[in-house]
Amino acid sequence: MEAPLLEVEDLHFAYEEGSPVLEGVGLTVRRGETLAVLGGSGSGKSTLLRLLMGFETPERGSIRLEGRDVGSLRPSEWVALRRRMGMVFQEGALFDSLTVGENVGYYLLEHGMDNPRDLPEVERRVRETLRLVGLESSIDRMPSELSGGMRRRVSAARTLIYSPDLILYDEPTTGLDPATCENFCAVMNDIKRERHAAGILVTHNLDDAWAVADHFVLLRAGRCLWKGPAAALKAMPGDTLMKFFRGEDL
Amino acid sequence: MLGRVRSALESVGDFAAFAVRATYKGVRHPLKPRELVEQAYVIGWQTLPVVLFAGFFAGLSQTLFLESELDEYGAKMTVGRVLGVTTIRELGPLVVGLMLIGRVGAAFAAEIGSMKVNLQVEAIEALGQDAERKLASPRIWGMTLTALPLVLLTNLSVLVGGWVVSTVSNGMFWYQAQMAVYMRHVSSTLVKPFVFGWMISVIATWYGLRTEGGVRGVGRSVSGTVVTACVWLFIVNALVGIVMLAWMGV
Repeated sequence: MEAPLLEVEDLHFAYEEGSPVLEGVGLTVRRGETLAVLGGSGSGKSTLLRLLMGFETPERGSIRLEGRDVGSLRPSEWVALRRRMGMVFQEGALFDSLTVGENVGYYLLEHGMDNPRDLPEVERRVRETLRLVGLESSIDRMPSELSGGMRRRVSAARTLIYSPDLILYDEPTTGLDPATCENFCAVMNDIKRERHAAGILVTHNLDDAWAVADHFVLLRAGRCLWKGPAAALKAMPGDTLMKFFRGEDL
Repeated sequence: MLGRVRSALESVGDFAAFAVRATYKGVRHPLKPRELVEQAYVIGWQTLPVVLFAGFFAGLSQTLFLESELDEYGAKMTVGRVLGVTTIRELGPLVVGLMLIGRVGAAFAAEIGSMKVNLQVEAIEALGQDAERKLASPRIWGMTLTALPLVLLTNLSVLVGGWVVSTVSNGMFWYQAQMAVYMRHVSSTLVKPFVFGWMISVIATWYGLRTEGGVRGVGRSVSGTVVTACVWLFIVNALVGIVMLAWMGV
């Protein structure tokens, strides 16, 4: 079996002393796999992603990327490390003053391809990536002209263009209509298949999780209640996940 | 009470560390000419009409009052020199400082603050960039370097404003004004713009990057920038004056 890309063990975190947000969370993700982290509001899902991106520092526990402990890195060391990771934000977090094409090409332009002779190559890659998310015709539009679903797909394209090893999705389908959700899940599966990238999907939408996840982590009040492969969760009694979301014992 | 003192001290420490870090990052990862030109355009070129206009009327009103006062001592003909000294040492740098706070500093805080609450700052970091280097360093260096030409041109517009309403002869006014252009006075006008430009831009970018709490938070950052920068402008202006007096005897 392939070695894990990301391993998290016994992760503890609190924004304020005495109010833990995460208590002993652990998970493992391999290349080409998507892990769904399920949990209700306030379960610590988004905080978990913030810790994995290095926006917060864990109180205890370890985060290992390809065996290297990255949990206690200094901010300057995270800057370089994040080039191997990507994040699709809940509302897209697009740069309002840039066009869709400029948003998607941002990484390339800011990391050494801003020379005039590189621009045709940047444009080619921007178009190719936008085609993958079905938005090639929107290349010159401004983010304010896009719907919520389109913004998230642009956010995904902005991440995909540099082929990160690990992509974190922060509730990417919340508030979208079913057809757009399905479309977005198809994009996530394409990324997994074609780029062999590992993914962590944080969501409370069960349909999306079933559509893309190979493994599950169930999070309640900052604690990991259950984790394992999708097949094992599927084999559990039909109302298991509803019990979980209702706050009952599994 | 103790909590507030601790929180205030933490903010001061955070500000001091940010000021050094964000300034140094512009040297360690040198700014691109394009970044400086963009800032020079926004800070210098777009602010120029405002400071010239304000300077002109400041000189005009100063002269109206000064002439009548000096006339009582039979020294009306020295109005050009008195106006020149007060302008070069105090009025010019202060007019530019206040205009930079109102026009540019507030805009910096609002722009960066909006990016912060819309997660665009985190998106920059997620794309492997240092947000302080990307957003703060170019603005800090841009304002620090652009303030000097603004002050020199404002000094000139103050004098022109004074000359327009002065009742002494043109020759006498400008001859007296030239008498003010001695190194002991000019040194003030050469030092203050760098100090003011650096201070205002550091305050504005710090408030912007520390913005929290949605649209209200942006408002708080803007007003915090304006109030803090205005208060410190006058304090630092006095301190620079005292230091120069002690150091150069002027």
